[in-house]
Amino acid sequence: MQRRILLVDGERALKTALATALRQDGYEVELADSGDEALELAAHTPLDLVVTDLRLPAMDGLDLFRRLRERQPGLAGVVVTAYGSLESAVEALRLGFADYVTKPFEVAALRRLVGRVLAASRPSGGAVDPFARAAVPHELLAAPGEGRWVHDLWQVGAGRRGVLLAAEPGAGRGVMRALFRAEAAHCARPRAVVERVAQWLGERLVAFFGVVDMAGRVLRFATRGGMVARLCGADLGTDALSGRHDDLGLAIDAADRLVVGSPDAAAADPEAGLGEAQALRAGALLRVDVGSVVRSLEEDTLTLRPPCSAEACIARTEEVAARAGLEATDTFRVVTAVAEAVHNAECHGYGGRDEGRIEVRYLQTPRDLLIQVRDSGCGFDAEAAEPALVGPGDLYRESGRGFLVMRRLMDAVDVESALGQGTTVRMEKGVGSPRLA
Amino acid sequence: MATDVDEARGVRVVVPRGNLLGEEVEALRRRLGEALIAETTHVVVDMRPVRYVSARALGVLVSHLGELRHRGGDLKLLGCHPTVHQLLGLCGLGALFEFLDTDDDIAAHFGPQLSGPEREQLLGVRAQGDGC
Repeated sequence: MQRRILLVDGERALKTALATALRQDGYEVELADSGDEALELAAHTPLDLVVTDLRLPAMDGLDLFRRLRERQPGLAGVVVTAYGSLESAVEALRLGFADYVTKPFEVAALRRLVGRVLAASRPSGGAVDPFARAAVPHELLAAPGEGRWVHDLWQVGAGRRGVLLAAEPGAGRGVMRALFRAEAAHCARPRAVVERVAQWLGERLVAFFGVVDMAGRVLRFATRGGMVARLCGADLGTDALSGRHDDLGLAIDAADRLVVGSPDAAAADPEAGLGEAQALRAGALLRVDVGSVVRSLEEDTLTLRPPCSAEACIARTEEVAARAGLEATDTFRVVTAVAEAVHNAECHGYGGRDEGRIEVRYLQTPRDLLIQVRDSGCGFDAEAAEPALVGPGDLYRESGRGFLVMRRLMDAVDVESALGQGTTVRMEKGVGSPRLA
Repeated sequence: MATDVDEARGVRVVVPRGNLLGEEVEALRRRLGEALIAETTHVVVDMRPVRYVSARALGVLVSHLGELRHRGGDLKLLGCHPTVHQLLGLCGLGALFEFLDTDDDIAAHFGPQLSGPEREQLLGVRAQGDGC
């Protein structure tokens, strides 16, 4: 089915160029000059994506998107602005925009972004993908971690990278995480991600952050607030982010700890007598167990290779449920549902053959624990495998795939599968009262 | 094999070695199938080692329950963890099964079908060889 995009912008030339490019990509494209015109058009036409300028006459892009979403809650959106600011970007993500773009931009970049956003969203009229929906906006509301370190993990380029953040409580770590995720979607190079986040933050927030190379267990492309840090690798060789330097250095010491501080300080007595927050402000020496940080970065994804042990899945899910603060009853429900999904992936995805992999991804938001179980197996015809009958007899059909049981256990379960393309099961469980930053 | 059997005359006690997921479900299916082949009509599944049960395991239990009752026997669950009780309840199967709390309940519940010596032997076997 052809996906339909609405472009809303007062600049006719830009709009026309974008429309031409997107039509070449196979999309159906509608155009509007203003918010009112967009609302009028959307009243009669189901949309898959709206790309809107932030500043529009009478009604701005944020208001427009809010009103469009009232009519079509699953609608994806991208906001374009020539007046980029941290506040507007945060507000856009908070509203549920999938991403934002600052002018000037390359048409090719926007085309890639549109493709990515639409790939993650359902066709108009389809069910909302809870995992994709929650991925970025909820990060904005996420409570800061218990410790001083905040981490996140995503794919940048060909390697698996993580971001390491350090900031004092209240410094806006949730916002920084959201910015990292959004920028990672734009950039294939970790260095560019850090540069762009630093550009957004400027001197507003005092934080140290960097991108961790998961394979090499080395922190790369680090910076602190608006300043640029000198970077030291495991061999203490330097790799400057740019021509600018300040007195913050990073290194991996002989004990496999991350050392943060001036190069001179790194060689001096590590006991500076400062509290961690003070030391961070001062750029003085800090030492962090890199191994534990890297391990914690990997905690949100469990990769299994069939035939796989159900016990590994149970243990990891119990850990995640405990971190999310689930009570025993809900923990049991979540673990049972995840074990069911993994078991199904193994039985139906691979037929007992030892190949492929099953990936269990956990994402905690302030309101929900989201779990995605994805296999790269043979897939199935979801409609044929899941009859409309929902009586008790269907729950335990031996030929079934346990989806009905999962639905009894979880607040929401969404199954996506196609023959030859693997299966993805997304599950959602409420975690009680929101914990706001 | 992942599932053990403790058999006294007329009653077969199947003891899974852990959660009824993956291979353990197939072992359970085999053991219950063997009971049908041996024309044993009274079966107890010792659920004490089990905390998590898959939908497929539920299917195995329910299908054998129906077959055994059709033959005049029964399948009862011994020592179910609260989580298993909860799952059965969520799936609307709580009322379908009869639950036993202790080993002694096996003889007590199947007692009417067993003669005096068989009943005494069953109690003796359970006392000596639990979980074999």
